[in-house]
Amino acid sequence: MVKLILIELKKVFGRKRSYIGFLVIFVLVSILQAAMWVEGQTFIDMFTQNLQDTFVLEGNLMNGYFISFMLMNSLWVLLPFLVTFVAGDSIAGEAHAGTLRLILTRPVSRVSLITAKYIASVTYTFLIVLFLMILSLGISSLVFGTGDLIVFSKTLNIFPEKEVLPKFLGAFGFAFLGMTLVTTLAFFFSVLTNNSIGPIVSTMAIVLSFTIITNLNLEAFHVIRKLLFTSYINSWTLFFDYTIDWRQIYLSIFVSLMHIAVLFAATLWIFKRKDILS
Amino acid sequence: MKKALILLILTFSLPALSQTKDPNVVLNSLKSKYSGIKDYTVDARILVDVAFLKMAEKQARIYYKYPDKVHIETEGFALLPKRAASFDPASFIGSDFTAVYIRNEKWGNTVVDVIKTIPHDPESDVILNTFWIDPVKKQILQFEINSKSGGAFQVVFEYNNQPFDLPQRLTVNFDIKDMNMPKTATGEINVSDKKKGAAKTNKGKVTITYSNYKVNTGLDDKLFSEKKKGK
Repeated sequence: MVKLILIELKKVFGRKRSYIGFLVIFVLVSILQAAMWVEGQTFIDMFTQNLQDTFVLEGNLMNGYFISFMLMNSLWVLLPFLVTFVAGDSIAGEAHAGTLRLILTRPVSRVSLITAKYIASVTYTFLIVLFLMILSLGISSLVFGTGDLIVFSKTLNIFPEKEVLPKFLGAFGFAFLGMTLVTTLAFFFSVLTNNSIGPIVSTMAIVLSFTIITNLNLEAFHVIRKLLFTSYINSWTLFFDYTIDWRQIYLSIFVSLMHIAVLFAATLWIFKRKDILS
Repeated sequence: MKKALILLILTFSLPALSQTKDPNVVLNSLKSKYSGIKDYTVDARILVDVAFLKMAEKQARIYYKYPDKVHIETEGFALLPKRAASFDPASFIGSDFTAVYIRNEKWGNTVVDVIKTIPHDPESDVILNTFWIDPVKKQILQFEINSKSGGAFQVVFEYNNQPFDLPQRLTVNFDIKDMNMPKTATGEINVSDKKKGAAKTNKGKVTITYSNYKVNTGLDDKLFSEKKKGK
């Protein structure tokens, strides 16, 4: 099994397009960090204007943690696009290239093969999230230093420095779970078609339309919203509420894990019964 | 214009207020009481209570040097009310003003003098100061500001045998405009957007508890020039 996973990982990282995600994150994070270097303080001043009228503000809020939070906020919408490239291509790509049938002529069970491909896709997702974390949190902290974190959430929250790192670890951990769900969805679509464009487009169509419904503040969508996974995968932001709603976080984890389990089980079920014709 | 009007009203209502004390004597006695303080260092615990702002209690070390130098050192980020970043009676009272004795009134078990001052500086944001002063202990118990920019600002002082009778606690009450935070910055794009329009004014409170006063240690001016902070 380990050998299979390593082979699949080699395939993933042997393709040049697998590096698009890393490149996009690197370029965007660099641009945003440069922009924050120039205008970050102005940005903070804009939000603390009310406070500056009344208070003497002492200490530096324009630090790596603040930039990391802003980067995470900005790039969150982009992550689903990046992780679907690999997962969507995982099975459908091989089917399109005609190598899937060839692989299955080898003494490898379909369950083992699909599990290995899935683990390779999730590993890629993990590395994308980790790369974002290293660049946004690690590099920003090195360049801009660390300090208390100011977050513009439902209220203006200022967290002491010692509380910030656990919040980021929780947030990035949850971000990985959310992106694993998106990966699993793309993987599910990948087993249904024989070209990799279909799963990528289908996954993005679902993520985008669900996100729109989730974010439209209409009473008509009140019940529907609760049924959509996009209402739960954004829960990394809850780690930056002043009083963390652990109940909602646990619920979001449960819902995400259930989606992952059901989608992967469905993928296995379909793949085991599928006629591999290409 | 506002100041002139207030001065006029206060002047014509003096007989009705049955002025019995010279307010300048009371204020000067306060100033002279604290005139021995050339500088001090104090540890402060700052608790901010503002509806839209959530932050933990912060620690700070405040350095003050006569007449108006203040330097604040904090671990992390801290907020201190601009008009009460440090205890400085001379600065609270000012130097160029017209003082009017209003009345005396009961303040717990003591009788306090209520004095209003109107700064002469036309550029000053302050229209009117009101002091509640314990004339026996020569302590400011309460201080209120009415300003051009609007909103009330009140400081309540508590004393507890600190060196030079410096206060142990300041409770600062003030008005502050609510914040309208853009959704792009909050990441909360599904939060209800019904409350649009002009920012509401909220009540805010800051409690500063002082400890470990060190008075007249001869603080170096360099300390204040490194990062000059006005009040």
